[in-house]
Amino acid sequence: MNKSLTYRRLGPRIAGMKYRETLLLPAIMALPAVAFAFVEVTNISVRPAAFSPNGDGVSDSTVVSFTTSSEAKSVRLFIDVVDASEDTVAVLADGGEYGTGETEFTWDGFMTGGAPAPEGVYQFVIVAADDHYTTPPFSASARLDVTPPHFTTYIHPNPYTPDLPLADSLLTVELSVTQAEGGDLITATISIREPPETLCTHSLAPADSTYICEWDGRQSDDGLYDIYVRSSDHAGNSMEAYYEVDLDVEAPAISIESPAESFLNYIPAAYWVTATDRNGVDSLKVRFYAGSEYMVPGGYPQAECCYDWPESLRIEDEFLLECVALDGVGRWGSSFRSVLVDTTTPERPVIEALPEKVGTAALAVEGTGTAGDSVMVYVNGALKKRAKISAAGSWSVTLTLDLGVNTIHAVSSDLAGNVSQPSDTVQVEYTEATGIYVPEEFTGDSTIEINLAREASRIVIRILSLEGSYITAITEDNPDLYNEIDWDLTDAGGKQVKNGIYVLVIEVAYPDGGSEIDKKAVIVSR
Amino acid sequence: MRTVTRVVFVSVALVLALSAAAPAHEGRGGIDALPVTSTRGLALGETGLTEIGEAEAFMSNPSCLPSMTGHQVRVTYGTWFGGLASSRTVLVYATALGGKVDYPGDPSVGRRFGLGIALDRTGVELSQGSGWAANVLYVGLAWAPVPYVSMALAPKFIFSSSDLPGGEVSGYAIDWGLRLDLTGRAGLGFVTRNIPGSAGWKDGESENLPAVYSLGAHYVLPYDLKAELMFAASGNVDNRLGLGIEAPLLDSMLCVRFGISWISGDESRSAPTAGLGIDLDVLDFDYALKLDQDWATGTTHRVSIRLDF
Repeated sequence: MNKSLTYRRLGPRIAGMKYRETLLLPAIMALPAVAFAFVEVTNISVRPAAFSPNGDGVSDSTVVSFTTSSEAKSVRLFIDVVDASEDTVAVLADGGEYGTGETEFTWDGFMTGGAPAPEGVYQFVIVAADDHYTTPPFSASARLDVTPPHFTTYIHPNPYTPDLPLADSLLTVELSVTQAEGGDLITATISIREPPETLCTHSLAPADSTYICEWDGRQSDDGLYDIYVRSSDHAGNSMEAYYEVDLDVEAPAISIESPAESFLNYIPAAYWVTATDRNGVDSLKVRFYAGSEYMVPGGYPQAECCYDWPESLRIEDEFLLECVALDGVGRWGSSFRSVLVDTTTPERPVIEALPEKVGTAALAVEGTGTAGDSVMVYVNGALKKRAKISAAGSWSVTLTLDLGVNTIHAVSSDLAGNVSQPSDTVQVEYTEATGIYVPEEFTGDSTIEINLAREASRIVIRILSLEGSYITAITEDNPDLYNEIDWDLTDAGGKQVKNGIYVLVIEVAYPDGGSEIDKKAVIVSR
Repeated sequence: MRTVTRVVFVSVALVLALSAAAPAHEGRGGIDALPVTSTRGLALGETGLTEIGEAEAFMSNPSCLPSMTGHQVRVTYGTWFGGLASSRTVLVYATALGGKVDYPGDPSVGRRFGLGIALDRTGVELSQGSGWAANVLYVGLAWAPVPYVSMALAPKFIFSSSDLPGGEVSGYAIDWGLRLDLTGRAGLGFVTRNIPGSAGWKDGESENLPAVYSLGAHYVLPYDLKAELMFAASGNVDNRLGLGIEAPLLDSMLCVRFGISWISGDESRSAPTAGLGIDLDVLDFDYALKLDQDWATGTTHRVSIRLDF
């Protein structure tokens, strides 16, 4: 405490005293103390001792607190804020009456007149007085600090390839801190995903100027990561920065775009390869047979291009097209495709002998062909079935024939897609057997199938109960040879018949006047 | 007489009340949908509601049972639906019980009560060769409060035998009968069938059996010619009117019968019937024939033998 300075500032405002007279105050005040109980100022403190009036909500002001005691109920207080040049920059109390006891005053860092005070150390000079006595000045200091602790960051290696043999296995984040004081807090956070993972938190010692934090990314996925670094001091000033880290643990992605198929029925003229990597592709090589020498397509490295199929390899053969690529961090990747080039037309298949006429729609067809090929069987020009030709050279399918004449032929195709000439055609006539086919149990709408041997003029189906009562009748004029007639289980009045036994009396009338009657008993139950 | 009137009214009220249940399907058809006629009744145009002294007749009208004399057993066999593999077999036992009652129309003496048991099996071959048969067990219980009035009921238990799992059916029904002997020459009969009555199919719904109402009459003409008449009505099957006449010959040892059955409906038709009966005291032989349209039940035959003991 510089009392002389304090007296020089406070002297003119102390009752009736001249500036120079205040120099005698300590002696004057010492005398009455023998006979009186003086006013006292004790327990002076400033919190926080450093503050940053920058409006960020953290330590924006500081509070000076103390305790006054006196025989009087109140005291007059004088509190000045004095800078290092001993100039008063702000007045917190100017002789006002305050009750005795614990008292506190807040300074927001602004000078008298409203301008912000510059950075520096400031003294709070406190004088208390009552009617009998004036205390000597007491003081306490606070530091006004609005400069955050600055830092520079060096992150290495970046790109970060922890799995490569000669590369660093750990990522180093090296911080060089400036304008910081001991006790300032520096944190480095690796922000990989939400919530961020905090790697390091460190409180600087007075002698610290650098701080190193390491991250082991060997268990993390390939990708770009953010590193977030933040520094802060006791006054509440902070600084933060983001840095991007490239964790590269994947080989370059290689795609053989062409030929896309593994079997070709033509001689390829070109092939197309793409290699991509976040850190670029430094080299691309290719070979056409396992174990052969790699070659640089086109004679120069290129990540994506269409290249000529080598002239000497434009033959029928089985190739193993393999591409390798080196990315910007020194990692190799590879991709391969087996390609069979076959341009030979397969032999046409042979259909075994078939009957000229059949009475059912299902027909088993057998034949022979080249083992491993596929056979496609057509009926009346429409593809109906496919089958694989066995190792023994035989194949079989079951066709569903259409009513009437069915023309059947087959072609075969090999793995490369070469298609043979059609086989010989075979004709099979499917005719349904004449007669009446009625299900024995009707549980809903049911179909009565009537296949006539000759042309008829009318079909009448009378439906009777088992006792002979008329239920309903269904008439079909000028019917076809093959007829499917539905009964919706209603009677002549349109109502659903009861469950029971019914007799279907089927009368077929012919143009020559003749007729035939057949009777079928059925169960209706639903 | 007041007791008889009371019983008649109670029975009619009960029949009407029980017949009110609604069926699951409201259309025509169903099983057990027509009055059952005896072999004699079939020959007389499908009549026989007032027949007496005949065991097989109790299936037509159970109120005939008190008119039985001694014990009777009859076996009947016939074709059921012409043009279709089908048959009908009936085994009947009937007798009269209780005190004797004189019946005006019959020289024999009846009794106060009657009991009959019958097993009626109608089998048919289904469209693809499977077999199906309806078996009906009749139990007839009759009471004659006065000599000229008898009434009865016949509970029936229906069950099927079938090759098809979905064709299994079981059910029950009750037939009610009333018979009045108006004079020594004339009589009336009234029968309701299947009230109540229900049958359930294994894979289907339960349904009420079709209710059938039958009214019959007979009159003895000169030369002992006997005329029979029957009218049957139902909402679920065709209405039928039957008329027949029976001529006893050779001191009633031989009877010749003729009749006709009219069947109404969308396609009405008539079916002539004929038959004969030979009465050899303890043994009785009957034959009946029905000539229906080919597109209907066609020609059917029925024979039966009765044993009295």
